[in-house]
Amino acid sequence: MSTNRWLATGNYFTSYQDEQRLFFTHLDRTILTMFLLLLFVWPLLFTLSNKYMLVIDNILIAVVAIIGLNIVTGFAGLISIGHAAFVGIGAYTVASFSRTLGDSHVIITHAWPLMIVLSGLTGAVFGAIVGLPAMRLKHLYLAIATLSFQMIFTWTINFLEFFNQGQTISISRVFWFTGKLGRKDHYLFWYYVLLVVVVLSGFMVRNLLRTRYGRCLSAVRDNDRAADAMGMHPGLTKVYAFGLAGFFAGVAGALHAYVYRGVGFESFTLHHSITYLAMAIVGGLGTLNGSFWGPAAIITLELQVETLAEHAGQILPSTWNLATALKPFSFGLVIVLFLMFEPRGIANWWRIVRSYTKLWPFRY
Amino acid sequence: MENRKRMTVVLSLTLIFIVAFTFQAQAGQTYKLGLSLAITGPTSDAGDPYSKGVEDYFNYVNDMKLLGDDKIDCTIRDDQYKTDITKRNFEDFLDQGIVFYLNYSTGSTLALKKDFDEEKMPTIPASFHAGNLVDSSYIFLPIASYSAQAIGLAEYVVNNHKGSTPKVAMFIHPSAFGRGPVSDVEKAVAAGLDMEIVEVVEHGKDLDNTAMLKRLNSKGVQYVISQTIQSPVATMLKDASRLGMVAKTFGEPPPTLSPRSPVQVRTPSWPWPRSTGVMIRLPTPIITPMALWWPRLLPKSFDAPRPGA
Repeated sequence: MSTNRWLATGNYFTSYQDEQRLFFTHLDRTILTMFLLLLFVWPLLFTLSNKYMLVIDNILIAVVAIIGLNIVTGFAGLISIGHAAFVGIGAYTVASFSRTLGDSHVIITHAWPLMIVLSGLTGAVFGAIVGLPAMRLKHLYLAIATLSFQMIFTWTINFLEFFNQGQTISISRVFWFTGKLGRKDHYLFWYYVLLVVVVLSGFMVRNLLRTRYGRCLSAVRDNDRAADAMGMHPGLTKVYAFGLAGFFAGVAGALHAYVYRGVGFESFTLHHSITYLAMAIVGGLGTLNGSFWGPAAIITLELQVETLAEHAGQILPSTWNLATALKPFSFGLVIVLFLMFEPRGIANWWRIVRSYTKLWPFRY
Repeated sequence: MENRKRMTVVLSLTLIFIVAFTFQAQAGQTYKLGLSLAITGPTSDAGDPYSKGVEDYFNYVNDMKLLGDDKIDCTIRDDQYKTDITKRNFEDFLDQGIVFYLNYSTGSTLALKKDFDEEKMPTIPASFHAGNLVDSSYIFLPIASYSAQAIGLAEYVVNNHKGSTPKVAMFIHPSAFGRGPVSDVEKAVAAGLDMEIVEVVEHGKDLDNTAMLKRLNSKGVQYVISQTIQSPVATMLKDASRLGMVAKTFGEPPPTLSPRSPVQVRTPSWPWPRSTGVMIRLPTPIITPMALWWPRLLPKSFDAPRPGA
């Protein structure tokens, strides 16, 4: 171990435990603590409009969902094209309670942390069930299996009267210690809730990757036959990965339901599944910090393209409907460019920056 | 001397304030409105011209001084037919201090219904889904709901059909907007309207409806009542025409008010983007676009003052 715990410029690992540490230097720990502190404090110093608070909340919801997608696709190497459906499962868990008990029932308005956990568990159950084909299927065949789940989900929600045929099922505002949340505090309150969920999820996954179960995921991704020979159970590991991904997706779905105060099927379509996949790819598959970069980058891009398409829609002839194509076009372009020039995603840029600062002031 | 100076300053300031407020009063007020709609994305073939119509209409109101010195400032935003984006736009409009809101899609109107009530924000959606009015005090439909229009068409079919019970199919948009009137028409049939609904078709993005039309024909369907946007209807009409179900169209006269209505609803030159009720008759070739204009009673809460307004 380096004598200077603040600026270690080399690799001083003498045991596996050393290598598994959460923070390699005091500087790492301090920077993260300061950053988290900043995230919690800035809303008290600056007032942001509800529009942008909603955008930030949306990014954080996507972060939770992408953490889940990264477990299944990034760490376990299983393609999932139905992630939005898992998010939808979480949202519709809350919505089911709303339909059955009424949207202002105390379980929904007061026991919302319980509802969020319950939604996560429901997502995990569905994730594990959908993951069952993963015991037999691989690659594109598995992708098709997850795609079919997305289709079944969309169809079920769209046609069952219980789910209001996909029309919005409303969710009331929740209560906190100070009473019922008003519009003024709604997005700020959920920002803090989301931040806590994101931080906890981040640490959970970081710790998971340090355990044998986390290492199993990577081993199965790299070579499931070799993993099998080493005594792991590739099939169960894959089901387990799907279950975990479903849990995080379910939590994200419940948070979506509460932030938007309603659940409608159009937030959980195949398009959203592809968007989640794009977020994971652009952020960096198989990296934890990629789960943060991806949603931030894609949602910011979405905002910019929306503005561009809006202006283009005013100028271009409506019969051509070219403005409509701008968003999918820019989306596709970004994914293709990342796959061509930076397949490791934005997380790799972050790695480069970190390795540079880690070596500073003593460079090789 | 000191007192006189102070008095002069106070009087000058008072005069400045009076002049400033007088000019402000003379200049009139500007009322901020917001419109969120699908300029791009699904149904943008209707949403885009709708946005241009609204823009032109308010320019006309301001230019012709229809509100005297008062002006309307209407911000228009694209929501791509997505509820999430509509919600974001609505929040943005609230931050801007709008006093009236114009919405578009059925889905987002239903989703934001509670927000409109909470914010006491009068809203006119482009969607005339009857469900918009359920448990809502701030959504106003200036014309008949989709359900009323569809039932009107069904009654028209029944009243003009010669022979046995007419067989009808409904051709609807795969969304809340399309499905809205179906159950109401079914209720009308259950209540005694002498008509048989043979099939409800939720269209996709088909570029050819030959198979569907032939299927309906084989089932003995004589009329199709449509509840969707222009392009799927145009596709269906093209194929109906090609199959020899040549259509002849006729329209109804412009808005007429029901004599039973105690409230006169003004119907300005508004760009209605979607028409319920293209009716196509099979195999005898008649297509009937028709708009029924039934007023909705304005709720009392419309006149209730908004806090802070």
